[in-house]
Amino acid sequence: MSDASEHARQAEALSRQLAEIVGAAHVSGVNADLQTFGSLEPDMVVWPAAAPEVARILDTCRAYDAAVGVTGARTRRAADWDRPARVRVALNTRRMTNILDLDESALTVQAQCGIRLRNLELALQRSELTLGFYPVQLHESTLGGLLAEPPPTAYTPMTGRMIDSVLGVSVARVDGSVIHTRVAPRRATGPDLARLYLGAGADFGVITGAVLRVMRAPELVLPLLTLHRELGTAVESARQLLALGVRPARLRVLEANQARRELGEPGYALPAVCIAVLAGPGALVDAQGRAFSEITANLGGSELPQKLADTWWAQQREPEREATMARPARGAALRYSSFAAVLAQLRDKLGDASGEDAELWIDAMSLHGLELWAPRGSAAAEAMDAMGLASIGRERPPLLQALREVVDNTGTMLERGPLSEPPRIVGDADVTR
Amino acid sequence: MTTAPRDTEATPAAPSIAAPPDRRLTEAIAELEQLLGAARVSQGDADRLTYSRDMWPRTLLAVRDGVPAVAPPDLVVWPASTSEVSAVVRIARRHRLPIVPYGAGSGVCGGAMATRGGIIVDLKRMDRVLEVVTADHLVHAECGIIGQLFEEQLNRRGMTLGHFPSSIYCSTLGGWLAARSAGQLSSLYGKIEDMVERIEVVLGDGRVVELSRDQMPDLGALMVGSEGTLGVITRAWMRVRPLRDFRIFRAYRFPRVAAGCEAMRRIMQRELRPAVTRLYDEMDTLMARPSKHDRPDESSLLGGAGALLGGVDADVQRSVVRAALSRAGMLSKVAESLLPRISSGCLMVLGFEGDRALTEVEAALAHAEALAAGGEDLGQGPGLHWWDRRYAVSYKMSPMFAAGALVDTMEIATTWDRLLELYDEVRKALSRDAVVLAHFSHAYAEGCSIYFTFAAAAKDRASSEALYDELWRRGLDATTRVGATISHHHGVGLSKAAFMSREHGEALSVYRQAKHALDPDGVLNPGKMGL
Ligand SMILES: Cc1cc2nc3c(=O)[nH]c(=O)nc-3n(C[C@H](O)[C@H](O)[C@H](O)COP(=O)(O)OP(=O)(O)OC[C@H]3O[C@@H](n4cnc5c(N)ncnc54)[C@H](O)[C@@H]3O)c2cc1C
Repeated sequence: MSDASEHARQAEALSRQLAEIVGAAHVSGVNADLQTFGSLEPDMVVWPAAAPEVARILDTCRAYDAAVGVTGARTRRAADWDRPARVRVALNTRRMTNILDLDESALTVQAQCGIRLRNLELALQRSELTLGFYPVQLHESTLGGLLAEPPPTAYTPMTGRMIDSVLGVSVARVDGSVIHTRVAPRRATGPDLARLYLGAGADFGVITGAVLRVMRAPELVLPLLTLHRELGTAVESARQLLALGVRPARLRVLEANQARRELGEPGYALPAVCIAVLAGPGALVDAQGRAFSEITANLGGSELPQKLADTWWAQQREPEREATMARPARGAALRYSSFAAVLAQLRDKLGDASGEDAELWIDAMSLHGLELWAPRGSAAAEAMDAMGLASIGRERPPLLQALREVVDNTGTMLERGPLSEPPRIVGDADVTR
Repeated sequence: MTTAPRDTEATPAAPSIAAPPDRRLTEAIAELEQLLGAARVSQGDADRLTYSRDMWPRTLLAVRDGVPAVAPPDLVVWPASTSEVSAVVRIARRHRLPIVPYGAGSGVCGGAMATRGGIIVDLKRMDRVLEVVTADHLVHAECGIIGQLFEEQLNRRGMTLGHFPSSIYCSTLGGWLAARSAGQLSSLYGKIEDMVERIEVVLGDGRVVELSRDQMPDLGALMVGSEGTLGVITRAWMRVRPLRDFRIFRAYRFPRVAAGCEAMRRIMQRELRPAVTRLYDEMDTLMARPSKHDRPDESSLLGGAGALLGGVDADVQRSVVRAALSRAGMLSKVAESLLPRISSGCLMVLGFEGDRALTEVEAALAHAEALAAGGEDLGQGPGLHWWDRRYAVSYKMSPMFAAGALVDTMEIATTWDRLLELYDEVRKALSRDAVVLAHFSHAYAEGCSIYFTFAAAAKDRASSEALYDELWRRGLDATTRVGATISHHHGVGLSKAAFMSREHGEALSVYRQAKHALDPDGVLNPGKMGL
């Protein structure tokens, strides 16, 4: 039998098995369905509805030596197949969209992985709750996608990273089991096992659901824009605000070109703008606002009109507008201690570049560092590459391969990115000689 | 042979302090001495005795009975650098000797005990602060540094880690990370796992790796809390904060625990961040009533009893305590029935620290929430008093044992929806044979921890150990039945190992797989954490 017909026979048999698990209507090898999975080019797509089904699918695929790629809303590019000859199954989570529990006393929500962030937020809003003020550009992503492959934008100073709000996960594993990590405040007993799955793609299994911390919709949300003569003082004002212990719902710094893009042309120059969206009890937000004004004034900055801030914030809450503004970007994680030097070097490289080529913005600020972003393909992004600034989201831990070999020794789960990277060993000397 | 595995690790037998001759050991010692020099390798009786236990209260029953060397290691070593730790692990692996990382030995679960013999690796020589980057609020330090010394070095530079366990004078940075420790101001600063940026770890095969929270997935979170079973944490980059010395305290009285918990929940869910939230149950509040004697912090049972017995002849103390506590179940019942008449409610202490203007607003908002939940304002006195004495009472456990009692603390946690059920069930489970007090601390938006203190007595060591084990079994059984976590910050070690599978269920297999991948020969702290 030729390789091609053996492949087809295997695919056919596997498809029948999968149909037994999820029902024939939820497995498809039809071209029209397969094409929607683009670069994945699967032999079939399967749509499970619950965690036990996912586990059985993985177990069955393992028995057939098939490879499984997991897709949510497909807002992000899937990884490439590693061994082209294997039967390929795309496991799509679009039927797993239930909110399983909403506890308004403990402020936790348990949801399946296929729910889109937008729908989860809408459901929470009905109870005057929110996950936090994550950028609306994330709203079309599924919860599973956001937890398995967390984008850098899934962060606010108020909530931390979205994965930090996870109290527990349910995972279907290639051996056919489903595990649920115990839900507790700051899970304390032993290592945080959920962390093995968060940010691991589907390397170790499929996150089928999660319990997340939610918060009450704040009583007051106050967006503030402040103007600075240069990026350095705008960044410093944000840093000082964080040093006071304030946790804004958004904290960003825009350089002139990016400021024009986001704020329009107010009729005066905007060399550097700091944006702080304060949220919480009214009296506290007011006090924080006063503290921010004081910091700004001390650094020689000034406040921009409240109307401009309100308009910007309203636009940030509009999915359509945010989606058009969101562009592929290149970011680098920096420390405050090196920021000024990096910026000077970058400016030097950029010379008199302007417009999109020179756009820069700063996001994901914490007391310990920040992220500097530029549109992908711009002169600024190229300069960042030339300067060798590490790209955000690329850092993989050592030991991943060793863990993978134990957890999934058949390689059923489609690997993300180049797992063949050698582990980063910082010291391997045997000093005993 | 002390290196042979034992079946019942939760009840370590008392091995002879004399080390048996063992060829593997002899060879290992020769190699270790060549590596570290003879002065940093010890097989001496005094060292083996000193390192034969940590602060697991159960071991005090043996000590009281004249068996101080509870589980002596074969030897103790004191490496001074990561490469030395790595080399020690390689030697141990080659000779199949267990490695037990040892910080300051303040762990209260038996985690640092060499129950399978082998090598205790004391890390306290690795105590340097390597780099402080003020602009980034990041500090790079070796993990053997004692907590208070670390904090003092930070304070001199205008910063704080914000981590203040009661054991701060006798525990290390590495021990905190290994056991996922919580400080008294955790509601504001978080637990130790929230403060760590990057760690350096020596694995079971001697390799040295760096794990950072920026990596995806964050395998550092697997190391933190693994109590030396997956790696030896040698260095860490810690996140620190600006030092603030403006504080506001306020205390309240609530008629019942439920009302006090409701106040805490409201405060945390309004996104206010008190540095201190502590609610004492009625019994604990009663014991904490002002007297001219010592005043309690962690547990007023220890402080109260210590105060009552202060100055009394030791033998009399012993018989009074033993007589009273051997009927602890009855005592509890009587106290319970009297409680409605003698109760002075439940004391709650709130404390805020930070920038003056913001802190005053936060404290005022929290004050309003406490009153709205039925709290009666007691002013700032009890809070200030607690602050002054915050490290005091934790060190009173040994005298209680010496006086003939057995005492321990059980710190468990759950989400708000199950908190009162957890409180009732565990109290019920323990109070049949023990006097039980509790306070609620370490509050979060989603839940809170409960810190039970229990005391009992039995006639001899065997029956005391049996009672001790039974109380823990009942307490953790109730905890897991309610769906709570069996430890909020003391860790698991040996004392809770049997309940790891109840806590994690199938998910424990993930931990086992990680152990297999990172320490394939099982060199690191074997027999701990239910692995
Ligand atoms: C009086 C008293 C009060 C306490 N109060 C608190 C409190 O408020 N909050 C709190 O969280 N805990 C408290 N504890 C418990 C204890 O202090 C903590 O568990 C602490 O984290 C242990 O630190 P250590 O350095 O003493 O570690 P050890 O006791 O030496 O070790 C604890 C465990 O971690 C492992 N270990 C130690 N160092 C390392 C390392 N570098 N790498 C890998 N593994 C390692 C050991 O093998 C062991 O399993 C208290 C204990 C006492 C005695």
